[in-house]
Amino acid sequence: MQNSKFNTKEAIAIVLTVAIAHSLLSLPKNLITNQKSAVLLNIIFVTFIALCFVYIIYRLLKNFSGKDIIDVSEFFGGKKLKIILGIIFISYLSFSASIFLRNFCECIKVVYFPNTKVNFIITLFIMAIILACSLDYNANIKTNYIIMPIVLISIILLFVFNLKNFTVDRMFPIFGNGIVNTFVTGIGNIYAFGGIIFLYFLPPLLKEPQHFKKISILSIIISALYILITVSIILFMFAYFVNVDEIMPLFSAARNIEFGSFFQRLESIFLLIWLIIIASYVSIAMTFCLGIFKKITNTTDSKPLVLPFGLLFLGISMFPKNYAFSYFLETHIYPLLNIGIVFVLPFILLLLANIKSKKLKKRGERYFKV
Amino acid sequence: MRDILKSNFVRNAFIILVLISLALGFSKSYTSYNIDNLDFALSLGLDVSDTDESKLKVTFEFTKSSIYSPESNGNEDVKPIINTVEASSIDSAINLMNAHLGKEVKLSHCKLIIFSEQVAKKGISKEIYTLMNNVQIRPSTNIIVTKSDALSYIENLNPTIENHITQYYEAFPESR
Repeated sequence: MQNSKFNTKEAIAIVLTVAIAHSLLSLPKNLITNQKSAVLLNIIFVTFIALCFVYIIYRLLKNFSGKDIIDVSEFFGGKKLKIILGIIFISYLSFSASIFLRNFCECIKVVYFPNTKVNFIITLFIMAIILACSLDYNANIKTNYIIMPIVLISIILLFVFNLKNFTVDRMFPIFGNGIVNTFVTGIGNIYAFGGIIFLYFLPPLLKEPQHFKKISILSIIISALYILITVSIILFMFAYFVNVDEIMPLFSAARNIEFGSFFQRLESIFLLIWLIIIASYVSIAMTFCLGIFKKITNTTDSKPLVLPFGLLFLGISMFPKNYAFSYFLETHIYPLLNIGIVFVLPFILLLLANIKSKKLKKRGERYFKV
Repeated sequence: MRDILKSNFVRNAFIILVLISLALGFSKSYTSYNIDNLDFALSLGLDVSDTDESKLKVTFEFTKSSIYSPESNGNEDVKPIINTVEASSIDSAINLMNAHLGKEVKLSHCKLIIFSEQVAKKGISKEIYTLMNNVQIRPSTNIIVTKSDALSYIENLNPTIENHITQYYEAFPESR
């Protein structure tokens, strides 16, 4: 059992995966579209809010030590609420990961496989993910932990190698479309920290649960630094980029790297690294879906469910009729769902559960079945 | 049922089926990227059409890929091949050229994009966005605005020192 638990670094890597994966596609472009030149200031502001939010979540979860959000929902609203919340989280995770996979495969198709149907590329990914999830429970978590530093280094290299192409003046005017747009409507950009969703499920899975606070804070800080770097690359490199480019912005940035006439077209190496992290992200989403499903149905073994869930992911990613629709889902629907399901819903639930537990405590009843 | 699924035969048959379907799925892309089916454009010239001012006259400059093969004796005629089509946009010009050549025009080795002054005066933002969104065009591709026609500019580009036009294109836009 101890083997199926994660250490602190693996847990941080899990939360980071979401920010990393999404910043490879539309996230930086969306942030720049929303905030224009004030995007860097906005990210710093949003990071501060995310840190406060995560700290509140830590305090709220502290009263239910070793329990995740599904356990808390059972405590607050019984089995019915537990099942409803479980379904909501499974739907959200499978939707976000599948749509993301679809869009990434569409980009791969444009770049490397112009005459191959996108379904074949998605199927190849899903097969790898099913295989990864069929292995040991935390095999993909450990793989993700190994890949994470490579991806982080690749982005830092991307930043350094492109320094000569930067026009730093593009960050001015520093307040972009105004203070209201940067600090009030810009709060919506908190969806960039979508990895927080995994924090709700981590407490019972940690080898050292006492480090939960450290995991929460560190993962947000590293995510923020990562997003800041990726957004800086795109903001400083491309004028009016957001209005014209429809493929991966970071891929376009990688295409600019050249060292004389010998080292050219290094974007293939970057894409290879990113392919692995995308597969890792989707497999982590599937692992958590399986974990939640196992919990709400009280099943002992989740391995027979790997194939059905794989097919579910495949079905959802094939659902959008075309790239325009899947792009719309990723850029317009995903942020709204993210704010609702990752930030609002669990916060309200945890708040109410805490009030209930305090009331029960006052009455002298045992407030949580252990 | 479980025994059937667990049997080696069914498993192997399933793996072979998956491999065959994937091979079929990806073979089209492999074929389209085969060098025999590609024509590499070295430069692209954009003029205003002589017949319709709203259209573009797009000139493609190709090279014979056979002169770069190891079997080539080096004495072959290295003169580039120049083809021109008229279309409403760069993308439709590429499609027309694909149909005309029976091969796919590849712009991944395109070193020069030449706009005539007339086109430049009308505004080239639309064309630039098209080229930016084309994954084949390298960010290091040089853009030239010429006072003459782009077609005549390409026709009159005759390197004297370099043997191949490609080497000339590598060097001359950066020369001072």
